Amino acid sequence: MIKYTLKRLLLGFITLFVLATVTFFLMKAIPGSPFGAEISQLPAATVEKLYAKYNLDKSIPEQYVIYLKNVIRGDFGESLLRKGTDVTTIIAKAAPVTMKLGAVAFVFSMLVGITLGIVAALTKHRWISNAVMVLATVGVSVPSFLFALMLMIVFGVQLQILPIIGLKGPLNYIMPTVALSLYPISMVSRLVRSSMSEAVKQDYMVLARSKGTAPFWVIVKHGLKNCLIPVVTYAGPLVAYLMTGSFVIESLFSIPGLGGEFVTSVTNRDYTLIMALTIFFGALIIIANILTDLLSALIDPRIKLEKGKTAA
Amino acid sequence: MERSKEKGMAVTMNPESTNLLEVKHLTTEFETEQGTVKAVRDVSFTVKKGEILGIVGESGSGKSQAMYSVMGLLARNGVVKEGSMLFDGHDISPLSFEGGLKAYDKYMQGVRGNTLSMIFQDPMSFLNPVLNIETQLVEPMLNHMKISRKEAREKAIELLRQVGIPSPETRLRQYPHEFSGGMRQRIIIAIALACNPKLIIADEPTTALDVTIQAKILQLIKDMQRKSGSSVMLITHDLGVVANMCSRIVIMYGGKIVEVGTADEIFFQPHHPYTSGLLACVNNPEEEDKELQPIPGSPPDLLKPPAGCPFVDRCSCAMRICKDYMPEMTELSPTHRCACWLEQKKEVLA
Amino acid sequence: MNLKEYNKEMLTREMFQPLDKSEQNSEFIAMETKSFARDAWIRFKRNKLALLGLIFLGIVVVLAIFVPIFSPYTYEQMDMTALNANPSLAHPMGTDRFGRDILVRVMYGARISLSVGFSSAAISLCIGIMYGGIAGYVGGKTDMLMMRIVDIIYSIPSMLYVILVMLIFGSNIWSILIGICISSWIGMARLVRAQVMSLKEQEFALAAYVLGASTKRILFKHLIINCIGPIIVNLTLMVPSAIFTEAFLSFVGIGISAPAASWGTLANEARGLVETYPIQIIWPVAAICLTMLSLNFIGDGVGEALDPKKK
Repeated sequence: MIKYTLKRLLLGFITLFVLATVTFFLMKAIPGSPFGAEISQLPAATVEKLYAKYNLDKSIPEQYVIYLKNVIRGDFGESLLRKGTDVTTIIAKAAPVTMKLGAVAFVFSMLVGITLGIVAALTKHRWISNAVMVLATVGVSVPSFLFALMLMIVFGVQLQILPIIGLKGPLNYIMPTVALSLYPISMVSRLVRSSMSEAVKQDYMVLARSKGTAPFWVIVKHGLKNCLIPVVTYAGPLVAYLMTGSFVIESLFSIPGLGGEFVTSVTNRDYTLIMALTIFFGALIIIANILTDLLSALIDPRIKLEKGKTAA
Repeated sequence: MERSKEKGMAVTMNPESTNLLEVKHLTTEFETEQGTVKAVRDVSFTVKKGEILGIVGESGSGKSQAMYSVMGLLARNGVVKEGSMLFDGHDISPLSFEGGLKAYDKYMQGVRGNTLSMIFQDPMSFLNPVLNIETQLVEPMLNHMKISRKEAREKAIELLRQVGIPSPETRLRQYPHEFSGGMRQRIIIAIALACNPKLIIADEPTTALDVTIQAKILQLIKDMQRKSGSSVMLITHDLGVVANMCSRIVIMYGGKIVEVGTADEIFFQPHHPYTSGLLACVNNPEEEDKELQPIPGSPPDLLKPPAGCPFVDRCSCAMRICKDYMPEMTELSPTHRCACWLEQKKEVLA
Repeated sequence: MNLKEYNKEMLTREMFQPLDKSEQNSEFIAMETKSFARDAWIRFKRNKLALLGLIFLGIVVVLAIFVPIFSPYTYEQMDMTALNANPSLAHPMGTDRFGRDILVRVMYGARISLSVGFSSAAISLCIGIMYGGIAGYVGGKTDMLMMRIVDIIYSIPSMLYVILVMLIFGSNIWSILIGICISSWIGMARLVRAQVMSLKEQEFALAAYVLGASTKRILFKHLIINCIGPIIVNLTLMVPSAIFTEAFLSFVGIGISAPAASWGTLANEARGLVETYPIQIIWPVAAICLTMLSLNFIGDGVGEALDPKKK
């Protein structure tokens, strides 16, 4: 287990290194000056000072080495847009906001998705199960940003019962959370429904009943753990989804989080911030994937970790 | 008419009787997309205290579903349509149970795994892959005995030792995939034995195992039965398996019982052509030059069971009457009964 | 009970005569056999939602091709006499704030969305089959290395690639396509590799080798037969996810930029006018949602139809 974890961490670091390298050279490949067109209007001395400050006067390999050294020390440089502010400060301020929203959405989608899936799998009424499936298909078909927009129009603009800006109070969380969770709820309930209806058909459920265990406990003791295995493996992709989902949800609801920052940095071509955020997102998702794999190995004894077949 | 009278009699039976399980006129059906499958049709048999009863039939003959009906473990689409079942002096038929289906379910929960338990066919799929052996083995004990988890654990170790699993203390913490097929079947047997049941239904306990292990598992079941004095119903498709195990044998075909008798009667005086056919397929080492004779054809489609004898289409002695009329059980001796028109043939032709 | 009632007196000698062999039917064929594709199509047709999705998608494709050709307007042509017009005969879906015909713009958006969706699926199919096929066929260290590379690419969300690529090549349909294709082929490659590995183990590959036949040809033939189901299912899921990525980026404002119109851009433009002219946002939103829904229904239908377990 420890050996496997270390191996995964190593692969994670390699991935991050590759990501950092690729983003660095991509940024260098972008045509034109990082300071935009207005640089030509500045006096030559200022330009030189500016270039020296960002090490742009050195050769590309030299810049790369300096960049890597700084990245390892956790120094991503200054924001190009907000002069004088360290990129790390911006991230440190925005990250907790995104994490809080992400955690709420994570828990919400897991709880609702698992409940819906189990209900759909076990109900004797066909229409309930059908209703959940239709909801799940609609849920994967309606893009989160459009759903968020519809929510805003209905509850924020027309009915005016929910706040549409920021994340100040608990009420503010409702719309962003629901909008972010629609897709994962659909995915989780589909997974749980199919794995639960598969599980109740298994022979070991018959053996459990033959022991005189009550039907409810047969489901809880023998069905639940089996049907949660695919859900656990979905946790990693879910984190990735919530991260990218935050791009648009945070922009729409004017939430000062990482996603919003990322979108503004892209539109404003704030390269240092883009690089730092890309690496930060990458690291978060890699960690989430490693945790997911360790967790699914804990819950499913059949998984042999040493083989290490799953993704980084 | 006659049937309901028997039902009434069954309930008031003398509790001192030597019969542990009495099944009368059991009929079980399954609703499927293709139609109603009549899996068990009017099946009656008894299990005496302390005996090993063999039930033999091809796959699809309804033997397993009859047992699931007794256990109350039918799949969602399966229903007991008719019949009475009396286990240990108590009615266990969902149709006539006092207090209705809810009370039946509750009562059966107390019986299953306790006084009535089952050994299943495939050790690979009947153990839960994500729970360790301990959890699965102590479950029936915690359900039925008033003991602590620790006591149950100790009992579980003892059980594993009895069924021949080495170093049970460490094995207890392992998961099913860490055991071989034969070992898993031993664990399933241990689960069935956990609460000292009065009747163990063994549903093809050796079918999924290697030949070399089959004999060991059968010996284990026999030893356990002898030690505890409980009764065993051994279900199999292999007459060879029941030969040295069972005192009495029931032969099933197409959802019906075609012949019942002691082991000697079945092996040396088979009356039903199907029994004879089965015997012709058994490899007997004493008759080396005997040619094995397969029975031609396949079992009847139970979606549309034939009106007459289910074996008519494959029978070498089939007569015109067999196609339209179901033969009745004819008593050949106090222990030997057979359902075949050949028994009436002499009488009518004479 | 379907027993016929009888009594002892009824039994006659006649009845105990041997049954004619021709009256015994000991073997019966349980099911009529059909070809795989026919069988799958029959099962697909049984799923009404999937069929509906296929019809809707067909209509969208036809409209997307022909409406811009036969319409008197282009997607950027402004009609200053009809700003924010309601739907009318001249403009079936109305016009936007610059007087541009919304129908033409939505259909132009359909071209963009569908071509992004289908071409990324086609590219992924090619790359995935080649990469997975090579990794699985060569095996050993090469396979190990190739799969680690895949792991690395796969661990970054595809949205980041697209954004990075767009920073360099600008906001156009090509950079979106390239960005999506950086990682979209990976599922396909893993699938093909697993299939090739298991095929290699099987006897017929060995038999073919022993006979001196070209193993490559045999592998390829069996590969197609064995993975066609999962590959098609994978493809049907890839199309909506690519369409989603494009719409997402255009909606955020970092995708396809004005005056070109994709569904995401249209939704974004109409966002500001939602209180005064709500009808303008309904068209692109409906277009995206219904297309995604149809594609997902088709995907489910195909998955069910090709799953041999669900007969």
